[in-house]
Amino acid sequence: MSFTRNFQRSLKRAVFHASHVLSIKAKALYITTILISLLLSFGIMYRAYSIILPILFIIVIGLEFIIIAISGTLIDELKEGIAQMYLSAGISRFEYISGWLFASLFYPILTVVSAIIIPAFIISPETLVREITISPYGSSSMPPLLLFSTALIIQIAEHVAIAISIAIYTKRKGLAWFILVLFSLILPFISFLIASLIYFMMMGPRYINPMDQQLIYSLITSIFSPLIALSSFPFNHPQKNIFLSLILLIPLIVTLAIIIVFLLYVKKGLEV
Amino acid sequence: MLKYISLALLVPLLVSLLAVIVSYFNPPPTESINIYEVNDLTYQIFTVTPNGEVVYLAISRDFSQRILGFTPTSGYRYELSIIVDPEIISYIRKVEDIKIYLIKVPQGTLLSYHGAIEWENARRIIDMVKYSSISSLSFTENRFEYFNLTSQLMGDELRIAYIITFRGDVSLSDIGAVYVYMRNLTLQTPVRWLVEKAITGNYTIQMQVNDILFQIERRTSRFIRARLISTLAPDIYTIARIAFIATIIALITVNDYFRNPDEYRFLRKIFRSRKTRRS
Repeated sequence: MSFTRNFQRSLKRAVFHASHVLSIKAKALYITTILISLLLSFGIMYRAYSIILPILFIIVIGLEFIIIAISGTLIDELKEGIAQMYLSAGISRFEYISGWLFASLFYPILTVVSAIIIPAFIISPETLVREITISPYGSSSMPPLLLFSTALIIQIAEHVAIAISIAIYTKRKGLAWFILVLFSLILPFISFLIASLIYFMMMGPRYINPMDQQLIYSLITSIFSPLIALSSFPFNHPQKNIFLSLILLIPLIVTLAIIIVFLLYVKKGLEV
Repeated sequence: MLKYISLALLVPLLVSLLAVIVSYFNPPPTESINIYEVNDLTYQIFTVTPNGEVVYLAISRDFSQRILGFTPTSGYRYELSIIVDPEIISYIRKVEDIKIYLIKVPQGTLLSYHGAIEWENARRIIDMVKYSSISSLSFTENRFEYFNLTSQLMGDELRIAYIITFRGDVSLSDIGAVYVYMRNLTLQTPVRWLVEKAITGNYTIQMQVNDILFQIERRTSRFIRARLISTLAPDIYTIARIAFIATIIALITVNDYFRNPDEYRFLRKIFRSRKTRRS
């Protein structure tokens, strides 16, 4: 009983701190939400699916940069001793960091996912669960938006969790930016080279199957960028359900592991 | 915190509402894809009726996959439009009747064939076309026919068939032929004679008839246009979905207001300032 009560109190304090952070930092998030909502609602209404997907990628990278910018303040607070002021007011280190994570990770993800799902639900609910053919003859397609949103949640959570945890551990804000650039811009290109090399080593130069090549690229990319993995996934593959679950499951496990290790570090070894 | 969550839901709702209003007053352009093109005819026959009239029957390839590949989305109405250009009459003469049919047949019913066949066999094909037609068009006026795609086009093959009945004295030039390659034939040769010869089994004449069938196809195809058209048609469900999301937001906000009225001081300030302005 006492554990539940303590947990509720902790959660209340963390949420209170999160709303305090949001009251200062939420403007950039609202601008991103408005941008994504505008893109999705007008894009679905005028069926500009071929434009939606690439612009969403750019917006997601932009959002990750906004999240890191918000979280950067946390590292400044830890470095300059402002955090001590909050901690002396009665909240624990764990609640303080959880509140920050709540404001800088959970809330931005909620705003972006609602900006994707609500316009799609209002204007064309099929786009949430069904693959949308972009051209009339079925040559290219857009993944179902629910699947896309799930991949987006996992990707943002993974990138931000890795960047923030390493930045807090080393107390260096620049490292967070470097990790973000590495994960969202550099690694997708490197993984393409790795996928091609693996494919060449497995199959040799004689047999080329674009579907298998795409699949290997998706599986490798899914470790650090499930959104890119999903967009390059061969949806006409005969065992698509198994590989789709893998693509989402691998980064989810990585993300959860990082968050758990980070929260344990905050509880036991974080120095302010 | 709940006020931030309700705001995160409210912003996309308002933007979607804006998109619906904008598209109502400025609808997106009507989208269309061609589903019937020249050289799409897989079945073409010539026959002669017991009355001596020459009948030309053409059936297009199946285009149901082209339509089903075009993913329909709700809020839109999808229609098939078949337009017969009246100008077709100036290119083929001595026509008694032209009928255009949209037919729906089970998979694999019609095989590819080109040539002249006897009336008894041709009549069965014509009866099958009439029996399986969803709708038919007359060529005398430029008419549009619309079909609700969601209910009618699932599973079977969808083809366009047209039957042209010519007078008995029609010649090759009258039906749109522009050349012949057999020495003993001219463009003034009666079609009826040619078809009857081909039916009796003269191989060279059969080849000549096939060639003339392709010439007619090239002449007539461009006057028949079949397109899939999609137009914006928001329905009552769109409003219901908006109301559903608005209700969720209202419930969250009201719940939060009664729990923490202090967080909504800014609203009171706005309303007070308006009252003071009025007074």
